[in-house]
Amino acid sequence: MKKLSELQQDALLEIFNIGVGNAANSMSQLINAEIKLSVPKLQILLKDHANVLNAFVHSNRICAVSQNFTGPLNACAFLVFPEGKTQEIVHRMMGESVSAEELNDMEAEALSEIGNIILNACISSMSDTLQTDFESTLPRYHLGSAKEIFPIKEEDNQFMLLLHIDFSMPKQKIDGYLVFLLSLESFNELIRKIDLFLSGI
Amino acid sequence: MSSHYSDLVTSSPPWVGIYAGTVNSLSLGIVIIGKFSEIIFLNQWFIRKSGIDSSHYIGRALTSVFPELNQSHLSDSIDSALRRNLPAVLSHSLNKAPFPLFDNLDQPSQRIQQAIHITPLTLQTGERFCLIQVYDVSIAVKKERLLREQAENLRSLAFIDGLTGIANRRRMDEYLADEFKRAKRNHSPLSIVMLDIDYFKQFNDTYGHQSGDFCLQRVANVIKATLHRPADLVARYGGEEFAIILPDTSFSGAVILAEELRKNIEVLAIAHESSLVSPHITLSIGISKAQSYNNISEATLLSQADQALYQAKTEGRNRVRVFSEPSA
Amino acid sequence: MTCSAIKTVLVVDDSRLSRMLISKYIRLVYPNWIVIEASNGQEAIDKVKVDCPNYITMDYNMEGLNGVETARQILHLTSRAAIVLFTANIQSSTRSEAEVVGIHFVGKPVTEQTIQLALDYFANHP
Repeated sequence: MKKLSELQQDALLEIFNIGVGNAANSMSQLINAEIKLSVPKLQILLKDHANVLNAFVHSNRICAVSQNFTGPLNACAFLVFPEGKTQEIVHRMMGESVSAEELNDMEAEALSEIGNIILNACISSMSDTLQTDFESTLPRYHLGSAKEIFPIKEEDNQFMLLLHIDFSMPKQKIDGYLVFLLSLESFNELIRKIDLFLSGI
Repeated sequence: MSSHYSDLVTSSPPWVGIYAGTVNSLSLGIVIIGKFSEIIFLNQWFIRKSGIDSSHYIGRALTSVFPELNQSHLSDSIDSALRRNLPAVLSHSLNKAPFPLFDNLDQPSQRIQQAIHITPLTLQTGERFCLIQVYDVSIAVKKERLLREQAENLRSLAFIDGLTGIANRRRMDEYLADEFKRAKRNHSPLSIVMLDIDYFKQFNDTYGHQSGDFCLQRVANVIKATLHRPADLVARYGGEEFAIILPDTSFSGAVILAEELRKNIEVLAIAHESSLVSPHITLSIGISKAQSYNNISEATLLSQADQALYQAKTEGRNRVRVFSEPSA
Repeated sequence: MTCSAIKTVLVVDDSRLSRMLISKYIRLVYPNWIVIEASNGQEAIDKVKVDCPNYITMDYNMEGLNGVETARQILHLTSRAAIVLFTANIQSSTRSEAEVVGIHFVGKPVTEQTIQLALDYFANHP
């Protein structure tokens, strides 16, 4: 399988950091409070995606918001949090104390919006840097095990781009993940676009 | 382009009518925005609920028809749909009611609560539009609020003494456990005051249970009024017994408060002819304090306050006693 | 532009790509300037002690010290350096953090336009 060079990784990380930086700005304005987002780490996985993710989020059930992006390359993009953490994010953003065990419908919708802002911002940053255009579905909310949420078949040869995301709000720091599932074809196209961008420097 | 459109109209007239009729009959708002951020179409629902003059909006910028949307998250999202082809959801929880829409246009204080979907529409010609769907979620919001209030009520009921309206034993146990941990961590003092109405059984026998209940309520109110700090908690501990948790309070502070309480109850002068110590209701009070937190639990602290209370009673009631270690 | 004096610029960023982009453009505009790089806050502080740069561009999110904290410590060492916070954290709170420390703010992405914004600021701080 392909291993990314340091520079290719750097380029990807920078794209996502600019994306989440923009998203943090929109969200801070939306709720009138300071939110900071950064993406310090990137990994590429080819096997056992669901298990790896479970191990990362230390929770059997995860909450996710997904959008499918199509264009010169296709990707299923997810913003993922351990189940319990989403309440903290949503309630703090809504200015309420944490109470219920599970997000109710309206809170799930709020989380979808947060995911939508972050995922759109990442894709926008990618379009700007790599000069590509994407189409996207509306965000969907998921709750369940990583196996249930990620539509992966072992034989599919799917690449998973796994990015650690630091979500910090006043008095609160939450770890989440950005996950992009790409076919081998789309992954190669992504690398090609990155190389094209790097060669222009 | 325009000939293209008229082709469509003449070649399939029933469909155009059906589409238009459908969109106008929907019970949600439909807004279509063109590439210059101008309004291209509003459906009947939206026109009805916004009350805008339908002859004036077509071709005007959305933000000039609704100036409050200038630089809003909504208009940013529309831009992003038009320029970048990306869809967006605006949840009610984070956005409330972006459009000025009303069920009753005479009551502009009550906006329709909204959830909004924004979707880019790209024609085969490459021309892009933005579709905005506005859902009325007012009923769901109301239901949600009701459920939340009920849950809060239930929760608070579970922690409140039904007769006196102050905290119950369960709430006190939780609070004491928390405060004890905090005090231990910060090495700060923590005092407990236990008090008991003198000869309360005789009071009940003389005046009846209804008067007894009323007496308990008045005593609880006096205690509540005597406590000044929000962190001080009074609870009904059992029958005619009350307990007060005083975080960050030294022995002397607790004694001063207890004396004040005892006097306030005396001043209340609730007649008690079968009391052997006074013609009025009086209190016996015991105090304990956590000094060092080695080898002591919150249960010990409670029992020490209880022992001091017992001492106050055996020494003649209507007085304050503090717990002291029995000297070896 | 008149023939400019030789200046030293320190580019601080944990992304090698960003450092490359910034350094390359600066060298293009000012071929006689000396451009040095650091990939984290501590390294930046060490380089300031040795190389006494005139100008610094500073990323915000870095492992260890963040950009604002690094700038604070550098300004403690030397008041002669003009510093630009060059970051993807574009919200107003980060802008005001920069303002408090007394450094200039430029939002990423790193492009010729944004690097030029930093250079314009430097030009006003000879």
